[in-house]
Amino acid sequence: MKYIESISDDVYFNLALEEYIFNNLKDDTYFMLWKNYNSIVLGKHQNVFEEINIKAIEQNNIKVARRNTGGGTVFHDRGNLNYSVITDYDKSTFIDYNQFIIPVINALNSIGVKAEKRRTSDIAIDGKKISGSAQTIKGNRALHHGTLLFDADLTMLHDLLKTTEGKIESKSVKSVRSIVTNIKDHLRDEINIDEFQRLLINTMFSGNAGKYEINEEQIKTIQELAENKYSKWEWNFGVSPDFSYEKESEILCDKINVKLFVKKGVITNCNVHGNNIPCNDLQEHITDSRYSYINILNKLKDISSLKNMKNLNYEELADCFF
Amino acid sequence: MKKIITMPKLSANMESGLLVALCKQAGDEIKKGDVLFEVETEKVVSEIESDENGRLVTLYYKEGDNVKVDEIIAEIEIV
Repeated sequence: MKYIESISDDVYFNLALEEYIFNNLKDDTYFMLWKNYNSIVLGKHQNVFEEINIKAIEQNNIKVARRNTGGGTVFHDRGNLNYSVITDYDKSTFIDYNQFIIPVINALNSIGVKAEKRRTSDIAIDGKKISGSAQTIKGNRALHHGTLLFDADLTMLHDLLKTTEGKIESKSVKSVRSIVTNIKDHLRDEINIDEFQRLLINTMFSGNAGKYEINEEQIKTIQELAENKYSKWEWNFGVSPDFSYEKESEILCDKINVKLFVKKGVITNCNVHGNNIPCNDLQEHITDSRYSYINILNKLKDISSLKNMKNLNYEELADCFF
Repeated sequence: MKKIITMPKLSANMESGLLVALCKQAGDEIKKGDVLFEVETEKVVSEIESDENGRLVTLYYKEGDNVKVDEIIAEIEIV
């Protein structure tokens, strides 16, 4: 088993690095550790609009990234350590989480963390989740990766995930929310995430980690993959399954009902009902727009018939669409 | 000769899988090793590859459908 430590905290680079290893380095098992600056990471077949608080994400400039494995949406920051295991897969056997999770649990136990397996693919302390994991299988290789909440901002995690009064319908993979806790709060000695990472590696590799260094040429290829796939709106948002959205809100003391149909991240159908607003103008301007909060807000500000309306708060009106 | 492709049993407890992506459509030429569709179960995305060269004749399900293990998903005409 070879050890790779990412040189970057950019989520797009790290997902590209993982894909590069998965598709190109097939001679051995690779164990990779990586941390991301504030970002949201979605399961491959999720509807991004169903999972995230789009307004909060766009207003706080949080990167949104779609990964190659299944499962739900997670928040990453520098207090969360990710591990990936890329190894051979025998098609005649069943999917197995234990072979990947148990060594991590053992390593955590040996540094004094009372971690245990929960459900199929989680690790928990006293029933509270500290790690979730997911996989992808292609041919005879498997990629397993997981999060380790060490000192993550749990308030930010909560605020960036979806809360809407609107109704979304789509054939997507839904997230399952869990009560979470940080590993740091369960350690006797106070250590930081870098010390935790060193301890984990030393334990996993019995103090003898054979490090694999990514060379300049590989970095260039990985950066191209990050640029052409992982950082693209078409991948992160556009790949979402089609969905319908409906929300009833109040604007200028009157009810407003918004119905949308969104295909590949673009609003293809928009129906607005309300007495005090120019519904036709709204429908006309919103149809064929990307389903983005800032985009919708700007489109609303362009509508001339809204400009004369007294007491209209554009943000409140944009909220009716999310 | 025709060959049927069924929903594989990927884990011991799997009863059905979500057909998350159809990578080939009816009528498409298929080469051995091409990814036909993707299945998701227990947070695992599995790319199901073709073992044959041929043509995809029929697809019995749509993207997003939940398909029981062993149900026929597609039919391939082998060349």
